[in-house]
Parts: sequence; structure tokens; C-alpha cells
Amino acid sequence: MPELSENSSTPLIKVGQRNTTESTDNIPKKIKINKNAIRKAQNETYLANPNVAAFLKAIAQAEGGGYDFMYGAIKGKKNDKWRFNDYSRHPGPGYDGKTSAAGMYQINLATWKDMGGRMGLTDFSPHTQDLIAVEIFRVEKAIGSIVDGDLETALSRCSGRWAALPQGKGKPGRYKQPYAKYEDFVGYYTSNGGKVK
Amino acid sequence: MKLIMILLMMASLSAKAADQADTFLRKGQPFKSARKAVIAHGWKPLKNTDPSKLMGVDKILYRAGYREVYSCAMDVGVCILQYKDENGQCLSVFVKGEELKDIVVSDWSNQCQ
Repeated sequence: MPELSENSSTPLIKVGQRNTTESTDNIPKKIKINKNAIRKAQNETYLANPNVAAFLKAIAQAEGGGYDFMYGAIKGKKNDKWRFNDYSRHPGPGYDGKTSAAGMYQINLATWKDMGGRMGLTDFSPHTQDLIAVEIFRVEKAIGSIVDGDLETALSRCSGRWAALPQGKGKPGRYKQPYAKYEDFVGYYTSNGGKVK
Repeated sequence: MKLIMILLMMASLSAKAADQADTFLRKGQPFKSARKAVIAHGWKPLKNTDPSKLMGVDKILYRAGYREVYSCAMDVGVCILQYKDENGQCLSVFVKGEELKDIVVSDWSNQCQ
């Protein structure tokens, strides 16, 4: 698996292969590439990065989510009716019949369709949830700062997507909703192996 | 002393903006009617400067013509839409809901992102 460079450039992924032809052959050759598969492969590489993995776990702790959570699920509750076990698709709205935030990172239906679609994914398995979260980091232009352990920048960019995240040190969340304190988030991150820049 | 006076005036203007919104916005109000009221009171939609970052619900809002959407939080289903008046003051309207027909006002403030 390719590694990420210090400056967090996009991972290099093999996208296709053709054999060379005779030098007299001047007919152009086409190589078909699957953009969705490339995007997914790049995100798999990001996922293997220890800082990215720690940042994901820290978000999960700030959110209090679980891979099988629908909106309304409560951590530790037995026979919780707001859990799902069919990971073949997004479970849809939870207890209020409208809010569809689900899974470890509280990904809603519209975001699942949009972000999953960019990688050609149609399920909602734990691994797909992880990959979608990484895709969100990339769209938010936060992936470089996450790889680098620059939590101030990463949180500033990701707090627009997760209300439970602070915007940075000494700052609240963006949505006038309950949020994790910066110091607590850093604790979740470092205890899961993340290194702060 | 002049600086203090200017700062006090700015704080007063800002508080006035939020107070003013209290008169025409209410929690639970359908977003479409709330937006009409916001614009009727002199606020202009503040266009999102980087729509490439939009996804999910905020992309739906943007494509529906609400170019002032800043972002939506997935976990709580709340979005921020931003407006400015002729004095450059800001009004952020928080709305809740994932489908256009269900979106209602949940809060507002005089700070933009």
C-alpha cells in the first residue's frame, strides 16, 4: 500500500496498465480508468494513516456513536430498538421519523448517497462508514491537516460537518449545540495513537 | 476614548441586528417564509464562496437556489444560512431538517462563520 508523504500529497494509485508497442506503431492507445475505484483506493490509503485513524476514533467518541446506531440509539442500552443490523444500505431516519444521522460518525442519508457514490459504494458497512468519513475530510479540505496532526486547522474545517466538534482551542462548536471541549478531543485523539503537530 | 466609543457603537449595532431578527423570526417557523421575512427586512443572502465543499443536505439547499447556505451538520441535522445588511452586519439563521419541505428555523445569531 502506498504511503503518504510528509506534505500529505494525494496517494499515488495504480490506475491501469498497457504493454508498450513497436516504435512504428503510432496509433493512440486508450486505458480505461474507474474514477470511483481510484477515489476509494486513495481513501483506503488515508485510512491506514495512524493520525487519520485516531482522528476518526476521536470523532466517534465526541459523537458517542456506534457502527450500528440509528438516530435515537443510546450507548450501552440493551435491546435498543434504534440499532440496525442490515448494513447493505443506510438505515434511514431514526426515532423522530426525520433525522437520519446514523453509524459511528452520524452520517445522514443525503451525505451517504453523495459521498458513498463518489467511491461507487452502496452499502453502509463499518468499513464503508470509515471510508465515507475520510471522503468527507477530503471534500472539507481537511485531510492534509489531519495527516499532519494539525488539529486546530482540522477541527476548524470539520466542525462545519459535525456539530459536536469544537472549532479549535478555546472555541465552541459552530451550531449552538453541545460540543466536546478541545482538550477532551485532543485526549480522545492521542489516546487512540494520534500525534499532535 | 474614541476607540472605546467606536467599539461600543459596533457592539450596539450588532446587538441591534440580533434584536431586530427577534421581531420577525421564530423557532419552528418554516424556512421559506422565514427567508422571505429576512429579505424583506433588508438582509441580503451571503453567497457561499466555496461550493465545492458542499455535500448532502447543504448541496440540496444550494441547488434549490439557497446559495447562502454555509454548511450543514450531519449529526444534528442543522444548517447555517448567512445574510448581511447594508451596514455589513451579519445574520446567521440556523435551520433544522433534511428535506426542503420539512426545514424550519431552529435559532439565529448575529455572527457569521
